Amino acid sequence: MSGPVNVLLIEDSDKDAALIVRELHKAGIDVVAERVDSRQTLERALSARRWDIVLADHEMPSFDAFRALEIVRGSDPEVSYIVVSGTIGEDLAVNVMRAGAHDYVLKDRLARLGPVVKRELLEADMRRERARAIEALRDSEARKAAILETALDAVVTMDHHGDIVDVNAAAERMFGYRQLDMVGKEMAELIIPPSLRRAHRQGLSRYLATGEGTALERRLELPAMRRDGSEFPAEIAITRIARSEPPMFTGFIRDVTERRRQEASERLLAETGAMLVKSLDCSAMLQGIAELVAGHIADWCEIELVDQRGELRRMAAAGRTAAGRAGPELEPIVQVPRSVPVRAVREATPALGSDGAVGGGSYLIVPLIVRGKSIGAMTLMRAAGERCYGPEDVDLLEELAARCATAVDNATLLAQVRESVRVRDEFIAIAAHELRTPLTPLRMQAEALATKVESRRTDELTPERLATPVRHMIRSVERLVALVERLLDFSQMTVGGSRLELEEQDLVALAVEVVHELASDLGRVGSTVVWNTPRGPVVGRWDRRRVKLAVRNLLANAMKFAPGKQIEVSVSLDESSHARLAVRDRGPGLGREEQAQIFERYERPAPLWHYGGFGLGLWIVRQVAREHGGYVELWSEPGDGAEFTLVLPRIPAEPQGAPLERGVNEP
Amino acid sequence: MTSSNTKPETVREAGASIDGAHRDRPILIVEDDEDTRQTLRYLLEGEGFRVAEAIHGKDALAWLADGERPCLILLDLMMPVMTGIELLAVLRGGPDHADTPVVLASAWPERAAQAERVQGVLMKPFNFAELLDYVKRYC
Repeated sequence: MSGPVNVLLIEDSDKDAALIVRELHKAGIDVVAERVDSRQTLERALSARRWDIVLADHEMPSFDAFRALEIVRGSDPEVSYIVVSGTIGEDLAVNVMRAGAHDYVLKDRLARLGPVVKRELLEADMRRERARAIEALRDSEARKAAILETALDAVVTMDHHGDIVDVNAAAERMFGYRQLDMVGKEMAELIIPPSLRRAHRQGLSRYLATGEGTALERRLELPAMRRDGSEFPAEIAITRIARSEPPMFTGFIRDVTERRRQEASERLLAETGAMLVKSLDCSAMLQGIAELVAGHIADWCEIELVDQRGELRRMAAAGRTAAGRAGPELEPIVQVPRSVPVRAVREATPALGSDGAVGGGSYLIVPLIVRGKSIGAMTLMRAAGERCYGPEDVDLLEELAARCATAVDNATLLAQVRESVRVRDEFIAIAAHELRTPLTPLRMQAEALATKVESRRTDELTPERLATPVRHMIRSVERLVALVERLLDFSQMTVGGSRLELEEQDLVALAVEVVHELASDLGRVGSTVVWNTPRGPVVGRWDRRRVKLAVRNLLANAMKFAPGKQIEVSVSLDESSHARLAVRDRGPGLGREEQAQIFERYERPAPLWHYGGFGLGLWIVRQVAREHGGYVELWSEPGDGAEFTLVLPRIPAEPQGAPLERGVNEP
Repeated sequence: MTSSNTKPETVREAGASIDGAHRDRPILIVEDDEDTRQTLRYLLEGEGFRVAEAIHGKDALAWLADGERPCLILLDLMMPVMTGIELLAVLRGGPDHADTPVVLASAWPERAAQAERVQGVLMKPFNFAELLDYVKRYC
């Protein structure tokens, strides 16, 4: 103890008080003393400060040591209280001690006071220390209880029978029981899935018998079971409570559903990411994604893209139905909204497929959005009995869909670039061939003439003899000039990927204009044009220059194969909002084989030598049709002429990539 | 530029003529381009040869079906209805024209792969003198 000892003297005699203080000083105790001698002064002194020790006289005029003790204890139950009295009998001493005084000292044997006070002060210190320790322990207990109660982990204490002794609030929330429904029950019955109970009981028996516990002091991952029988992934740590005998165990149980879900999401995103960069082939890529998704978070996944007609078209599908069938050839099993979505749609009760495969659980549709435009949808379905899709699934799927959409966009752009390169290659090949054809007679004539000049065969170089070769040469040159003009015309317009300039056009007026421009050519070959057009205009949004070029080439084709014959030009609208421009000639027509060949070469990259005879003209017509999302039809009867029809959608769709391009001759 | 066959007269290939022994037999031109046909006819007739024309493979087969024996077939490759390659397959597959000299006129260098089945390949636009070499060798 440091500093002076605060001593309260309850004493009516100043002299005795001085004696007591002196005695204490003599014993080496540094004291600060205050004397009181009435109830009032005592109470005042007690409320003024804390006292280390109270020394009370017994025989005072106003009150005695018993009364004083009562007052002191009312204020401080712990303080050392020692009676110092001149006359105190054995009985009185016993009584005052029993009342709560710590000791008594006779005034005529005051030498005992020093040691008594020293001992009392020491004991008081110890009492205070103990009180502090108990207080601290109590605080700690309360803190721990509070921690347990507010913990997110469930804490379950189990005895050696396997019965629950205690659970915290988190356990109540996690398993769906009230505390009093759990305590006293076998833990295995309540929170362990049936399939694991045997192992749990065996493990407990083995531990009790041998002291070996494989489940103790480890982090375990096991399914746990809620009151409703549903299971969830849990991370569990079990520990034996120290010194418990018979042993007790505490289990800390954490629901890791959310963590598992996030890990699964991250894994799925990583795997799809790898899939998306692996391939630039759109169909294969989407099929891979559908399979991954169906393997991770859906029983069925399908991916659709918007085609040129603005309708959803299935590109990939994967998953299992209740019947166990799988694969993209399956009909859609879920009847969900089939319009192009612009935001996620989540439903808990999908309609069933007609075959009833996959019981209805829930479905989730997310749009594939590129630059603010929905280009398709990803649909997921879960069978009944599985967790319904929730908002967290929407987040994941939107992220996934965004990545898919970007990849589809890239693949589409690449396909467009490849397509334009392919078109350019095809164009160059056909153009080169077309140029070689008139060059052949021109070169032969020129060289034959050169030979005659060199060998001075003057008899063959007369004006009469020269007329025919010169005429041949000029005709070849004219063909070359016309060809070069068409090449430049078309290459400027399309090759190199220049975009369509769509404007509202009247197809009738456009055709009339072309026929006007070709008047002199028609006159030269002696062909006339007969019109078959509706009363009003046939309006659509097309690229004026390109469509005129296509019409010009159709007319040129008719003039080439049926010179001097009538050419019939028809313009009409069909039911499916397509404009049709047909050019019918009265030439020899095409045999069935030839027709088949024409379509063959229009449908797939046919070997180049198959282009002979048809060449650039019809190729340009087809190309213009394609660029507008249209196609070319051919009708012919051998001996009765041929009819080529340019079919154009009135409002061409935005250019789409090759993956969605329809066959050119597909009606 | 040469206008005569430079090969020694004593070395002759199968079907080759001896000093115009086959001049009575026509040269068959199978070619879909009219200007080219007209020019060939004009130039070959100017050199004293007989000329027959067909506008595609099938047309040529029809003409050959009458029992005609051309001394040489000048065969374009890219033609409608029946291509030169298809015609060649028919000719070489049958008994009548397995040995008839054929010279291909191709705009595509890669078609020279057919050379082993024919007597010559000319690349369009070809030189008339080159054609004349073949004609003089076989007609």
